[in-house]
Amino acid sequence: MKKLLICAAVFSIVFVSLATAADDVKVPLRFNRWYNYDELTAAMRQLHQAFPNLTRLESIGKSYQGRDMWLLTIANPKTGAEKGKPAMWVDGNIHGNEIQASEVCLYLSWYLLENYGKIDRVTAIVDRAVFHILPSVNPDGRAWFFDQPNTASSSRSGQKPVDDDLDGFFDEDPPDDLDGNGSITMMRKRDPNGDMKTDPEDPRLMIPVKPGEKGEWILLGQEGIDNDGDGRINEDGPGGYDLNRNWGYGWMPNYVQNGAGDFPFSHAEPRNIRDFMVKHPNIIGAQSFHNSGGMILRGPGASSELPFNLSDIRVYDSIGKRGEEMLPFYRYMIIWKDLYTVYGGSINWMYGCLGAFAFTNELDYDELEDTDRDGKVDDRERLKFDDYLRLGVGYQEWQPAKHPLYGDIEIGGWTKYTGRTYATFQREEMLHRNALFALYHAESMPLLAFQDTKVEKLGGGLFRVNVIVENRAAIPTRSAFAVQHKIGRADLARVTGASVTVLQAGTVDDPFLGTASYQEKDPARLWIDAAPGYGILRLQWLVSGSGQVTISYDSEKGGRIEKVLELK
Amino acid sequence: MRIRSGGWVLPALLLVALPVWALAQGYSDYATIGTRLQTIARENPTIVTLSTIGKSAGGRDIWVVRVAGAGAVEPDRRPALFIGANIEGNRLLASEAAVAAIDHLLANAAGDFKGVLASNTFYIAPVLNPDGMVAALGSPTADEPRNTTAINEDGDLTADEDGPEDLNGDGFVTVMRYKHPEGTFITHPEDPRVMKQADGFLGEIGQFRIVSEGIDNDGDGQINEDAAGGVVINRNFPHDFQYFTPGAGPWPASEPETIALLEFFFSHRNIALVYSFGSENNLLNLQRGKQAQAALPAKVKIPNRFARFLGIDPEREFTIKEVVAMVRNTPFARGVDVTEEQVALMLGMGPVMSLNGDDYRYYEEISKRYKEMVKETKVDDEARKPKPVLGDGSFASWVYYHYGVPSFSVDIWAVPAPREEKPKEEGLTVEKLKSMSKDDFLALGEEKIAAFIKAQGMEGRVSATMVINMVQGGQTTPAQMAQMIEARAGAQKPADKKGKPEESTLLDWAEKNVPGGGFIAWTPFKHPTLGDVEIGGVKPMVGINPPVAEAEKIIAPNVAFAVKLAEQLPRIEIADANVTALGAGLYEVEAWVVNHGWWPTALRHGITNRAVPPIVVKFEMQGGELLNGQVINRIPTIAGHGRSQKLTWIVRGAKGAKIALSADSAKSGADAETLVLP
Repeated sequence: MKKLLICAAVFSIVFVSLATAADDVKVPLRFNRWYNYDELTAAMRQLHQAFPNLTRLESIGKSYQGRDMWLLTIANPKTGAEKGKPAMWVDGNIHGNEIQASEVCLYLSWYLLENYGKIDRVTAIVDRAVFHILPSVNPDGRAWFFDQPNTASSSRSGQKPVDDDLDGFFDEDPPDDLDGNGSITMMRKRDPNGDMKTDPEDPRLMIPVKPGEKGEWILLGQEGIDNDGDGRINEDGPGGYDLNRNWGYGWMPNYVQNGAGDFPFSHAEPRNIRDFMVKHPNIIGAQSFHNSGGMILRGPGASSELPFNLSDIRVYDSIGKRGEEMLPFYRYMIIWKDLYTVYGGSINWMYGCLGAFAFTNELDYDELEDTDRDGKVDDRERLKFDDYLRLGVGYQEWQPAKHPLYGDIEIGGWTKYTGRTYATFQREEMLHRNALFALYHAESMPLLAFQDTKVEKLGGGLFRVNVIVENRAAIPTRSAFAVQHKIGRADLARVTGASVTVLQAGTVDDPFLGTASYQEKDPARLWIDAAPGYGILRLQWLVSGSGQVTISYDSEKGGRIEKVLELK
Repeated sequence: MRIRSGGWVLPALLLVALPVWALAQGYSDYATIGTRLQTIARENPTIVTLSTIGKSAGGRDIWVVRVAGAGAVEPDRRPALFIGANIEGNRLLASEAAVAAIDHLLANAAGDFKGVLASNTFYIAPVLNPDGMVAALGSPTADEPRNTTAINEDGDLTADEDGPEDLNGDGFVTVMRYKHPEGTFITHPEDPRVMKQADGFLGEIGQFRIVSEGIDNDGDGQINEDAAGGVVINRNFPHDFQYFTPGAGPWPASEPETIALLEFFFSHRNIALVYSFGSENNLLNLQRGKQAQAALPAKVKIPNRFARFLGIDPEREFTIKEVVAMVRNTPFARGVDVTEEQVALMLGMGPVMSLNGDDYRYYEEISKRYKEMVKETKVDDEARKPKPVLGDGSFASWVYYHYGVPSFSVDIWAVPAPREEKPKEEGLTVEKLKSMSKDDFLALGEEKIAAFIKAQGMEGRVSATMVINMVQGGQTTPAQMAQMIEARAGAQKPADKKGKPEESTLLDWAEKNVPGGGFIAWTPFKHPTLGDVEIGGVKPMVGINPPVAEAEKIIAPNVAFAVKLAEQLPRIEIADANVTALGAGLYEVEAWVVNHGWWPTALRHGITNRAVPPIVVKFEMQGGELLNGQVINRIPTIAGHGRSQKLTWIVRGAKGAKIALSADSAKSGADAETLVLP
């Protein structure tokens, strides 16, 4: 029955969308709503079906509860094989409750596909790069958030049961939706010895009493009962770990990093992504969308991680600062220093072990609720916003209830679609700005070109070939960190030809003096650490022979270019 | 069964002979061990269960043999001893010892071990690194054996394309040396078999370049820079993993061998102690942790956010003990046992890197008993050298630091060191220093202390006056100095020492004990790219395992010692449960949970790292109500040797009302008791 309802829901979206579609839009998805797991899958399938030549849809594995982790790859096979192009990874919703991260991924997919061939920059990036887009890293958590009563913050975790309270039982005392309104709100009890009193400005809120004042209320925490009779309430809810602490760089055990899991990649979802990424070594950019707080975050996640190299920091800064301009109210920050310590986070592994320039983006839009414009949003302002612009749907008025332990209580407070997700009318702009930030990040991936190629005849069948390889984007073909720690392979420059022998190969030290450093051995394969961002490499070969030669520059993450020259 | 908690009887089982058939044919290889385990399992179906806990990168089974007799509790819930062996791959003796442990248990299953097999379980894994074992016995190199995971060491287009070759066909991959203008090696002046780095300061002029035997398969100008495989499994575990280190793997637990073991442990929470046979030895060389991180810093500042909460000055420095006292006074600490380790975590000082002080006392006792056993059985040469502590990313250190149970790792044999000439009696020695009091040390006088410093090669780094001041001021003790000197000697590269190189010991020993000796004389060879070279040097695998004839007598007492440890595991019982009438239908219920084992039910660090769950005592009542006390009671730990934890409840009920008490634990068994209101 549930399945039928979902199908009906999906169908009705499609139907409504088609009915209101602008004529030049192939897949008129709505972006003022959130998509549950099945709807998200259906939307991705629609995109894939509408743009079969530019997309690949695959499941990269199953979640703990057996849901497929759907990944949409966007690339143009006519402009070259995927592995020969730099790849951008975009994911979201690693925390089950941080749902709108998935819609950013969906919006980005939709925007790239719909505008391919219409907007030059979109066409260019789709032609020269690969996007691997995984809208929901934690589909079990997403399903749990949509289908079950929750707070805006529950639950970050996946759904594998964990014995949080170490009593030998798993997930046996979760919060309970006592008032049956679909959200886990708060419990309070009238008590003259309480430490809270009614807020004189808004009777729905409470404020702490001052010393000497009599109170009105005691707060009793989130809605729930003592399901297992151990004298504690809500102490062992569903799951109980953090998929964004389970990655293999700077990982620390649970007692150092709460929620880390038993060992790196012990959970299915990060493991599936790891296996995919290891098989796609051309990934050099990554964005992981979360909520909330309006933060564009980069590593290190902990002060104990190895430091970033200065030239990598400059790359991060150039992207992060652009993000601050594209995303008003967002701040570009360093995780351990400006936020808090995170051991074993996903983007830390992507940078530390794969050499990809990776950001976490904490989606937010709540500055528009700042009615007194002091730069902060408090509960009074949130309530005004909810009253004026959402007509009160985000707040559950306090209602009397009976509790088996506490007796007469009141239940009320913020519902689950407040605080971290946004009102319908705010959504599209938020999605657009963030998706285009990811697009900008992709545009920063290495863009290689031959700036100049020159063949000098030295006589006696000997030629000197001088080549300038240019990287026209901010990101180098390998991060300085990857070069330093030997992550991935070096770039390979070659001169090949049917009747050509390569005698020496190297880099030019001084173009004016004409000095060069030749590689000690194996001139057929010239190994280069990296082509720097917004920089050039001057390469030189001594070759003998005649006829056509192909100059190629082949980078694992930065793409592959080649050019044919004549030895004459 | 009540287990003796005090005495430690050196096993009479030394008398029990091991099955000799296996060793008579030499060390078992991987396949032979498999056959032996299958035979054992087939012949002992009621006690032995053979299972595969995973496969190596090369697709080879990793076996665990479970040995458990009939008993009240199912085997996978009994306090268990895990014996793992040969995680290195080349430690054939270790694998033999693990199989011998199974034989030993089975031979005495109806006798001495009847009790322990009824209340405990043994998990025995003779080959934790199958690929490594196959590599070690195949065409061994001098490196640590690796699994078959393809690692592109030289960062080119292909992995594993340039490994070593036995060029001269003598059956060994050894070393090539050739003269080169940039050569930095010379033959060792004290032993021409051995090569050493020329020391320019001593006027030595380098002659040779050295590279392992092989050709430049991929034509990149480097020789053997990308050999087949792989990862050194005993460096791949998540405690103190070293990133970007050759052989460690790309990240912790990247390898199937590592994952198989981790998953086995997390699905067998009943493992209460781990004993490893391999290359390390933390019983002969017990240390609290890595030298650099052995102790928490003396004084710390409290970060602002905590300082505000604790109401203290963030500019001031405090000792950890002072911070613990302050934290204990806060509401957060209610009902929680605040330890120094927890405070260190709160202050963001990272993971625990040294044995907890309380846990260390238990380690010291086992270490003492181990040394007594070694002495009594004379299996180990008394001159065995100190070894470094458990390695970075090693299995044995992971067991304690992440899994929270005692972990011992022993090598049981090493090439005996030559007897050193006894220093003159009147001189100071490191050995004497260990037991010397502060006053005795100071009484030696500056001259003798200076001579000692010189003898230790520490002249110039420390002066006698400096040391005297430090001892006087209490910054160090003679025992601490001895420990420091020994650690330094252990960490030092043998080449740094004066006199004969360390390889000489090995070669001299091999000369007498290994057929054909351990040295391959340098012989000329025409190398395809290097031209004239000489091939020779130390044979790989020499000195890793003792001659097989000696193996049996080494294994027997060591195995007996290891197996015996199971009898010391924690075991809980609900004791002396009783009901007292208080009048008016009220009753007081009391019970004690007693630990009959020698070990505590959880090590201190097992509580800190949350890997050892508490004992959970449940109270259920029919025909009455609980007025005070908890339905679910958590006991973090109970010390060993008969210590107990008392629990009380106040109930109201009618005569005949039933109370069911149950105690359950991950690693120390379970018990239940029923009471009736009188």
